[in-house]
Amino acid sequence: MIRATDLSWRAGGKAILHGTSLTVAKGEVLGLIGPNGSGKSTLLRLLAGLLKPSSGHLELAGRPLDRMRQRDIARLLAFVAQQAETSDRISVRDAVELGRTPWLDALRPWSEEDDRHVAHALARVGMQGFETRDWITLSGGERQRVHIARALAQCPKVMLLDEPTNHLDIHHQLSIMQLVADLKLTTVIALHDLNQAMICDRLGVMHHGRLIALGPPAGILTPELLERVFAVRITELTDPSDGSRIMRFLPLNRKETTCAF
Amino acid sequence: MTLALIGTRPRRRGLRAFHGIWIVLILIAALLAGICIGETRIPVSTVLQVMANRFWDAGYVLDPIDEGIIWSYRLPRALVAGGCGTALAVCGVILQSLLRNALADPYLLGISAGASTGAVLIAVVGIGAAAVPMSAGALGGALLAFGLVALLARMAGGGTGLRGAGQIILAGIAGSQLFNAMTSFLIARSANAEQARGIMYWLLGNLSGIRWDDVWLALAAAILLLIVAFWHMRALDAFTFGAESAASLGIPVRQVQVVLIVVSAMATAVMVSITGSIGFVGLVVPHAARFLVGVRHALLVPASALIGMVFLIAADIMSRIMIPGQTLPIGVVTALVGAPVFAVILIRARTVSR
Repeated sequence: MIRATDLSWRAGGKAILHGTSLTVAKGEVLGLIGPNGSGKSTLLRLLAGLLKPSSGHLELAGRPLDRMRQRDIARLLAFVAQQAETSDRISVRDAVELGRTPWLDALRPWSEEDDRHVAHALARVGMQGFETRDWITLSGGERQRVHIARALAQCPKVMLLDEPTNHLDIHHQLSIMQLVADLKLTTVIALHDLNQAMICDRLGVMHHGRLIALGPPAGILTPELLERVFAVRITELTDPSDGSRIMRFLPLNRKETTCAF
Repeated sequence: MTLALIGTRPRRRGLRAFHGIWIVLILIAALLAGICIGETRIPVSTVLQVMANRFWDAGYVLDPIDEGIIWSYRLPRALVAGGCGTALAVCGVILQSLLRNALADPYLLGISAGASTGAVLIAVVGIGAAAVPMSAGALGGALLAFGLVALLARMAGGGTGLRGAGQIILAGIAGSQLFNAMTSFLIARSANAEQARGIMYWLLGNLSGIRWDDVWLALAAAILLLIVAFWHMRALDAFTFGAESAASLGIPVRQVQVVLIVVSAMATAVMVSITGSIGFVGLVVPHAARFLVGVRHALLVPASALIGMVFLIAADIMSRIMIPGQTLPIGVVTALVGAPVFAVILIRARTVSR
């Protein structure tokens, strides 16, 4: 579905992303992990066509991305940012209706079909009944659900999400992750929490603007790699309730820790 | 299924036709008020007779003085006021959406000040003399001013956040001051006392001496701006969550920004070259319209256009009757109304952001 070859991106003479290649198969959930500033967001924005790569080649559904119109990209691919806010007094329905933008223009006005897509998208994220609520009255988790509904109303084949669970409490983090996993779309998601990353089909590990590892979570999240990338020591535990793997993080070397809480 | 659908959209379509009738009625009522009310009160029947004479050769026998006042003085004046109000209000809607800033307005962002400088440069100093019309000079000044303000805001660390919103308004104030100073400099250097008095009066926003040529130019600019705004109404909606979100919804952001800002600057420049810079219309009217019809541009653009038109025709009437025997600059009236509303928006913006 997505094929990136040797992507690089520079800003102000500084390379943020170095020759990154990856492919995402149809229906796959690919997680991107890495410390802050490792290039996860940049890579996502390149894949979404929101940034133009300084070099390299990018294909979406077999077509070169740089030759596609923004509108055609938006019909195939939806992007959910970490935290997109507005001070406008819009309703939940207004926000989700924005997702129909790539399918409408002056000659193709709003139709009943668009109504159906909006209602369906709201139902998929469990926000039916919230249509007339004001945006400002929603909680962080509800806002993120509405953003995902807006993205679903685009009827995309691919969904890109940039740390969608940041700023959310644990209950909403888990429910958003479950929601994403249940969408059954080709998905690339940047993540902060390594335990949450375990539900992805494959994981890519970003470090200093490079993709240094790519593969199934169990094979990727080795203590050596995590030590190098995140500078933490890992001990693995097994949850007795369902036998799943849990990671516990400890400072790499307590003596070297300069910042003690 | 069909039952559920009847409840939603088709009702809106019926509403739209209903609104269409209201719009035409309000338009005619505002124009009639603008023509009838003034130093000499003119009955509506006389106005209608003059229109009948002009459009259908009805041949009513009327006082030529009344006919002159109506046809050559008040009607063009009301039409220019209406067109100017529409254009400035729609400019405000466009700038507020693109810049994600509740305080964006051609006047506060220095676009009007730049246009004034450009127009004065042509009128007083006579650069290009007759070859370049005043409105072209105004357009040059308007674009230059907006470019400078945008650059300054970016260098000051602007962005789409709340801080960025403050930065572009501060940059706009700096730009306005600079261009107003340049205008004063040009006047002091090149104009004689009488010219200077006339220009200063015009700069405050003035509808005296409007001719039919001005009417066509003002209406053409207002209608072009309206068409462009309507064409982009979904793009304007898509900026709700910022420029990046708009891009991810398939909007060619750069292209849309350039087209909308250039057309807005053009409309502002035309209006400034005809009426001088009239402040606060682009700020106050979109907020009033949002209060009435909500934030979606399919309704917000026409509502702002209509309210802007009525607001400026009303302001013009006020400017003519507030002091008997004297006409105030219309910019004074709009500022008297606009400045307090500006204060209210500031206070409300604080409570929302908390």
